[in-house]
Amino acid sequence: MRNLFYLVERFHLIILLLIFESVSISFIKKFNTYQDSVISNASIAVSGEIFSVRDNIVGYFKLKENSRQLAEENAFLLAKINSEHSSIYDSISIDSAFYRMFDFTSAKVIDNSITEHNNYITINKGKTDSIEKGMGVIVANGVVGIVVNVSKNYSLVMSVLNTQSRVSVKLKKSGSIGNMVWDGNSPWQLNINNISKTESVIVGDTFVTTGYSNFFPSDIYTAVVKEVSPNPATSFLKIDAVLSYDIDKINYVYVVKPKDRIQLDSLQNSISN
Amino acid sequence: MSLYDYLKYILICLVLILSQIFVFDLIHLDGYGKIMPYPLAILLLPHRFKNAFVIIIAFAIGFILDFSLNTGGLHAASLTLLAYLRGYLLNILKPTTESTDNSFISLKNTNLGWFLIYTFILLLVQQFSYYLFESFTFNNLTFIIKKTMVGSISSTFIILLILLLFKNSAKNRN
Repeated sequence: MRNLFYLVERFHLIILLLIFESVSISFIKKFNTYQDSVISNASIAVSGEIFSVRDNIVGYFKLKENSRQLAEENAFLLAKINSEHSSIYDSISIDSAFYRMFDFTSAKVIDNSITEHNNYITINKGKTDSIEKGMGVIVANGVVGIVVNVSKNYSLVMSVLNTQSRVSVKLKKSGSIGNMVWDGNSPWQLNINNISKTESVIVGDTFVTTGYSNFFPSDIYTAVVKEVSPNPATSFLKIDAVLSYDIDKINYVYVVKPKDRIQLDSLQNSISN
Repeated sequence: MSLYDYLKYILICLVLILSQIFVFDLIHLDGYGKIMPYPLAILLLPHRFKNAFVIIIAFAIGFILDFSLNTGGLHAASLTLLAYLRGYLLNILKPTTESTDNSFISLKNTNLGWFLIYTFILLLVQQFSYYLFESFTFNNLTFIIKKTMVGSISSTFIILLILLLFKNSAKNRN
């Protein structure tokens, strides 16, 4: 027994280190499924309050940038409405053309990170604004991420700059489908996989969302091609792309709420069973 | 250390934690790193301070930061490692004067070169372990090293600025 005490005394520092390291590593997000972690929920509630206090102070410095972004967004949407109306009015019946599959809720970004390997964004809307896990988050000209955890007033969004994020995209000019993933390095470089070598992709081509998943509406701008080269090991192209907006400077985002989500989910479940 | 010193230390910790949350966490350096000067709270503890208490203080500071910034256990894990290695580093790089035994390590009682080496080595460990725990893979090692270098150099610079700012005010008081 005395030897045991002696051993503990001799190695108390390394024992202390190991205890604290294992406690803190077990809290790291990567090892916790968000569905049932109590700690992360409490943490979102606390950090959400802190972030919104911070945003109240720092937000004033961003007002100029904010209004510039909103004006640009308006211009972008106006152009989009104009181009869509002209084609809709003549052939397609009004009913189906104007049926909206999605509702949008605006939210303010109160915390955003781009330096990590798995980046998350915190927004100031939560359960009280009927935001749920699995909803997509966009800006007018780009995809931001997917809601992964919700507290009463705040939600945590898994950014596209997260190694676990995967967005299905299509080449705008031809419609061929690929996946947009991030390798965890530079935030200004994403990879698009699964585009066949037969496809002629050039620098400056745009990718848009497919709309096959019910996270995002179709035809949202996603990324612009920065570099293309054939991948010698496979029959696919190696495409480096850059996001269509500056993710470091986002202020307001829109949460996408699919209207027929319950219907769609039950339909998909019935197929998979 | 007197009661006044303990109160001063708690105040320094609070200011460092708040500055990390409200200022430095917002600076992303274009995605190439993070400025984290808060380890200064561990670095300036006296040379002869019990290492077990250093580790406990480090865990507490890291845990507060993790809970308020929603980073899981990253700050706690990396700062605890820094606190553990600090004892060994102090044994290797003995402070130049005896006055650091029982009072805070600062620019006043050590020389600038010694302090920079001591700070930079420990910040390298802290930043590297932060990014390594965060990604938990060696796939991105070159980019992690890049982020570590940028982060530790800029954090050392900020720590130096903080110390230079408060060096004079401490002198005037004495």
